[in-house]
Amino acid sequence: MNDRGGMGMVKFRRWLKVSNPWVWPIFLFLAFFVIFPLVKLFVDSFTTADVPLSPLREAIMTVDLMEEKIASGDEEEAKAALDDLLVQIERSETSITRTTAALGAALTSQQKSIDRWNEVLSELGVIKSALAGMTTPEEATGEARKLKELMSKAVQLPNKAFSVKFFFDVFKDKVYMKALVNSLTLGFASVVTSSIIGFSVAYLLVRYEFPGRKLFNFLTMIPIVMPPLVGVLGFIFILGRGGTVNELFYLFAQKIELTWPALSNWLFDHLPFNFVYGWHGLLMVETLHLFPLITLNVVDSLSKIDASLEEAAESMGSVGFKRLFDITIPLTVPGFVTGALLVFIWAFADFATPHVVGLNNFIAPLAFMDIQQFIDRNLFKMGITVGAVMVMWSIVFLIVAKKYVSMKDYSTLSYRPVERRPLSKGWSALALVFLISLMLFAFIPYLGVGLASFARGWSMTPLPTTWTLHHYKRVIFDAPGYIINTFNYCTLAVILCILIGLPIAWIMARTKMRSRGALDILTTLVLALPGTALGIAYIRAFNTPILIKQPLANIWIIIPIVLAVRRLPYTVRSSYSSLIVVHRSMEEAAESVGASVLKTFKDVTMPLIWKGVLAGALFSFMTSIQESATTILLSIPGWETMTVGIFNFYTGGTHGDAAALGFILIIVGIVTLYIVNRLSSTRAGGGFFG
Amino acid sequence: MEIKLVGVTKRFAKFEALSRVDLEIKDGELFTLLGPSGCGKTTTLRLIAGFYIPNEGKIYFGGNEVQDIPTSKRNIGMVFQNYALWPHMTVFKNVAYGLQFKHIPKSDWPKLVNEALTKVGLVGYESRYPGQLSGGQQQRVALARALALNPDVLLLDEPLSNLDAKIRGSVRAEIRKLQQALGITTVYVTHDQEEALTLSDRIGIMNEGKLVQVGNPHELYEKPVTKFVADFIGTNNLIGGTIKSTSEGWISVDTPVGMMTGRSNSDCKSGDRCTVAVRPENVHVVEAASQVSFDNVLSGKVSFVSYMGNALRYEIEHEGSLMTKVDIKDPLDHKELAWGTEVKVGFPKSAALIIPE
Repeated sequence: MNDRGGMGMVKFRRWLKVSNPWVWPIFLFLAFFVIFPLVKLFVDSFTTADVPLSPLREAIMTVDLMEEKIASGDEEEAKAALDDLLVQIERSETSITRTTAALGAALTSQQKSIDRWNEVLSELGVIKSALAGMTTPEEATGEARKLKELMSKAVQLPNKAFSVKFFFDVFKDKVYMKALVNSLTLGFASVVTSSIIGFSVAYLLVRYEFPGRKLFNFLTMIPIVMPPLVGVLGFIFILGRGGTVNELFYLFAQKIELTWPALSNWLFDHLPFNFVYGWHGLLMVETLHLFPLITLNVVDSLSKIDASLEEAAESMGSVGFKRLFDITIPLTVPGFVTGALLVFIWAFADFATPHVVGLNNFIAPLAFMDIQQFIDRNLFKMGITVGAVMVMWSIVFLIVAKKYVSMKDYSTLSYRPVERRPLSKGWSALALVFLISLMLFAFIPYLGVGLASFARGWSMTPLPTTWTLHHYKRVIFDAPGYIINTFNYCTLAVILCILIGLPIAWIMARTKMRSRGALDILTTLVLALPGTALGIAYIRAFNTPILIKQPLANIWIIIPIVLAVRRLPYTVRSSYSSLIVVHRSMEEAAESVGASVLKTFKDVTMPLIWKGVLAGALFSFMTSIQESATTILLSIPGWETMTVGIFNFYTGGTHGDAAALGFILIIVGIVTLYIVNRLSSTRAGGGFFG
Repeated sequence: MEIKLVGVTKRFAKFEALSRVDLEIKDGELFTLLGPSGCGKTTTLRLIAGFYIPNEGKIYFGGNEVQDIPTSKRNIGMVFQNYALWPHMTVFKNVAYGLQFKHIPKSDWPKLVNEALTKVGLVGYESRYPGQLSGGQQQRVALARALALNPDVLLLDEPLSNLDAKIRGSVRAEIRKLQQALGITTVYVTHDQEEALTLSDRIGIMNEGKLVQVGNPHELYEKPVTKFVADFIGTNNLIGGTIKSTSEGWISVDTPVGMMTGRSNSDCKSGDRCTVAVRPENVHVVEAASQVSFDNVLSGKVSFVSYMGNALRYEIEHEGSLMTKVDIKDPLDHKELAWGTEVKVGFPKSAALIIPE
């Protein structure tokens, strides 16, 4: 009898053990910052345009103001208010007409609401004509009161309804469809080209031994460090019409004018060469930027193939390319699909590169511009819908890829790797020529950005003529906010990533909780979400106050949160793969000698996994500082990041300052990548994506 | 197809994995390479398969030199320790994959695959993926895949080591029956001596990169030529000593625990270091006070007794920390001696094998 308290305690402990309430904050976070914005995005895209009713509210306020002025005897001000009122009535009429039109497009009949709006409209007409005949505010008071009452009722009327109109408008609109086709084409083409280069590099690095292999192991990772806009600008600086290479050709043509006039004339006729403007340039930029994503993932799969699988094929007569295509490549599919998915999403959602190389009609930039403008509500609406369409596409690709990967999970923990074969001298030279020229091309943007950041007024010469540190002084001392904000936000984002990601990884690796499947789907979905789409979803979800007085979209904390969400998958995956390697029995051994669960985690698990976790966190950091789509969409004046700074400087015409910020970003990115590389004993990457 | 290795040496960097191995495997026999891990048995198999090229020496398949012929042209069938089934192909595709390289028309594939699967009793599993099969089934698919090409030589690399102890015995019997029925020259690698003894026509015992002894299971068990083989095959009591004299085929050996007499299969000279080997089942034990009339007698005391159902094993401690094992084959009629009992251990000179070093 007196044991009831004790029994309660035991029950409570059991309940704690079974239901793990400490995971609830994590689910809450994911629900609020991943599921809610995406649902809101789809709901919004399936809703009629929400015509702003602000003129109606303004009219109410003006009536109050007018009465106040009359009471205080301020004749002139009261007259001005009356004039305002007439303008506001007209604007209200427009709003109401557009609202009824929007309601007319709804999926279900909204006739009742439309009728009531029309009533408001006709009453408004009566009041308007009455007011028009009045000259002094005093005699208008009565009508004004009537107006206030009408408007107060009107703003309560429904002005939204469920509709598929906008969703299908996107598919009916030729411009958007063309843009969608262009973006999909770019996505697929980038996957093809990146795969060819990425797979060749991975195969060389994993299967062969040649001088400098370890160095290239690191160098071939670097191209993923590419700040937005200035990355492609770097290409333009070097390969553009007035870029270094074309200028060198001009100089060369002048030099040989006398000695070899034929070639000189031909050069003058054909210069400048178009290296970057158009589809070929776009594809080149995307490929050189994205092939490491394929390499990273294929290296991981390739090095885990057990040697006997290939030997078995060889023993039956399958050699060379036959064996490569029948056995080796199919076995790399899981890693390859993940890499290809990332390349696809990245290229599909790239909103800056097409613009810089002179191509306009792509889906991400369209959505971007629709959301960034504040003039046409219909266009804004279209932007939201495009965001939803982009999410839909990534879900489709995710389903295809996920099915493919999960059906063929070949990963084993014990395997005998295929031995590296030393390359003969000739082949080594060939491999080096391939890798070095690839790296030269991939590093062109770094060269361009670097030169531009130290140049004063660089144009029409192969290299800048005057050198300056002015741009660095500007971005470091005059406007240090960009750099400081970026580091603050990204550090916060990484901390959030670990706080949320490590427990998720632990749940997936160590428990049999039913939510594992959902967590897996959610983190993979985030991996596949284009930044533009997530940014739009956040704008829609957090532009109204929830729980706190200010809308979350107006507070700086939204940026570290969105960064953390975007990069969460990297931390989860690297933590997960580190945890999988630590056998459960090691923890059980600690528990068997009396260590508590927390103590075990601290003394056994953590020392074994911290490197992997940290590597994943730093990788999240490295990609966070480059994040542009969401940071620009959500940027709040006074709280901008470096990528926003790059855009501001670029659109403001100060390319040098943009380049300086970009170059700092590149250096920080490469240094972080180097640390990541040192931390992960093998090559980093597989853990973050696979 | 007979296989011959002549003076084969294989080095990995500076490490000599195989030193001057000479070996003849007869047509149609099941030959087992047996030895502890790292002895070079898998290296030998992989040299025969062609995955390695010998640094020195020659390998012949039926009289033809093959050491420079790549694996893909040797017409071998191989079963790997982890089966090496391709996870992205169905059972049918796995088995049929090699047929294209033999230029067999596609229309014949189903028949040939069916034949191969019939041999291993897995017909009906064609459309499964390896991941959907049990370990034993995967093992049989691997065997079917190796046999489908009708190879000249079948190579098996520890094929049973990943199976449960229970099914290991039945799969072992299946492999042996199949091999006998097909009459295919087979090289089998294992570290499990029981597997080797029950399965093989002949066994080659390897140690530290050398082929130590080749013979049928009887020869290896009864006439080991080195201390290593005597120790490795079955259980043996090994007592070190020096040869004192030889007369009429009987050899006297001076050991720290007294004089011993035994026979030998090798030439023995007095003064040579040697080992006296005697199997536990040939040794008898009695209480110290009892009268005994064995050729060789040691005194000691019982330090451990283990009951194994069909036998009782004593471990007896002698002076100089020498331990001997004694097996009582029919424990039913035996009165168990308590731990610590002072005993005499004895065995006939015919059971003592003298192995000179």
